[in-house]
Amino acid sequence: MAALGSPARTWRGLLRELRYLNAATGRPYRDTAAYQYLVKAFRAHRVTSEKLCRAQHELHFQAATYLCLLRSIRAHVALHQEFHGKGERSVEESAGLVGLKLPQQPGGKGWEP
Amino acid sequence: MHLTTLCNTALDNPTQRDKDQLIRAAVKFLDTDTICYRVEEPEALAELQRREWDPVAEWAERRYSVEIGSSTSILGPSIPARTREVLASHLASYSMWALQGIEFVVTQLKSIVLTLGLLDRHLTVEQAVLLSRLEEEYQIQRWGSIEWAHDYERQELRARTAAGTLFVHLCSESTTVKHKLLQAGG
Repeated sequence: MAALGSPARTWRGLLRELRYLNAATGRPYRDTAAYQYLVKAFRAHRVTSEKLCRAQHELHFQAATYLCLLRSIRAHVALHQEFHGKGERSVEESAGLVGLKLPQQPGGKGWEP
Repeated sequence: MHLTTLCNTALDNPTQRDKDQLIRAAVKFLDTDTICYRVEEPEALAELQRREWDPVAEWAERRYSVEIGSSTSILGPSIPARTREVLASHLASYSMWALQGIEFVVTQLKSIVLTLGLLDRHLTVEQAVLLSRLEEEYQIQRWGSIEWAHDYERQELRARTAAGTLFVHLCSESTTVKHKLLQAGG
C-alpha cells in the first residue's frame, strides 16, 4: 500500500523545498549542508548494488517523510500567516472602525518623560 | 521545530516515565484505536471505513500474528491479552528516545495500528494522516473544505506525524557502508 512514488519525484520535491527555504536567505541552496547531504544520500541510493530492495526502500521512505515534513510545515506556516497571523487590531485601527480618531497631543501625554 | 521539541522531550522526559510506562501508554491506545471504532451509519462512511481501514488492520494482524478486530459499539473492540503482550514486546525493542517519538505519533494519530504501519514503512505519512482523519475527510468531501480550519489542521497533523516518524527512524537506524575491494592492477 506504500504509495511512495518514484525516487526522482521525491528528489525534485526536496530540491523545491530547499529552494523555498533558502530563498529568504539569498544563499544559493547548493551551498547548504542539507543539499550536500541529500545529494550524497541519493547517490548512495542509486549506486548500491544491494540486491534486496529493502535498504533502498527504507532510504526512499525516509526521504519522502522528510519531504512531507518540509512541505507540510511550509503549508502550515503559510496558512497561519494568511488566516491566523494578524493578531489584534491596533488602537488606531479599532477607533477607525467606528469612524473615530485618536487625539493628537503635541506636547505628549503628561506622564511621558 | 517539531524535531527539536521531540529531542527536548526525550532529553527532559518531563512526564518522568520509564520505558515500560511508555510502552504501556502506547499499547493502551489499542482500546480506543481509531481504526477499530466503526460507525454504522451513514452507510457510505461505514463502507469507506471498511474499505480503507480493514486492509490496514489485516496487515497488522498478519505482520504481528495477533487479533485486533473492530467494533461498532461504544465500548470499542475487545483486544485479547495476547495481542497486547505481542505488541508490547515488539515495542520493547525500541530505544527510550524512539519510544518517546512513538508515543508522540500514537497520540497525534489516535491510533497505534496506524503508527505501526508507519514504523514498518507500510504506510506513508500522507496515507496515515488520511486514514486517521477518514471521517473528517469524508465530511469535507460532502460539505466542502474550509481552508483556514481543515487544511490548517491537516498540514499540522502531517507535520507532526512526519517529524515523529522521522525521529523514531533516525533514533533506531544504523547504516553500514561496505566498500567493495578494488582489484589490484597488474
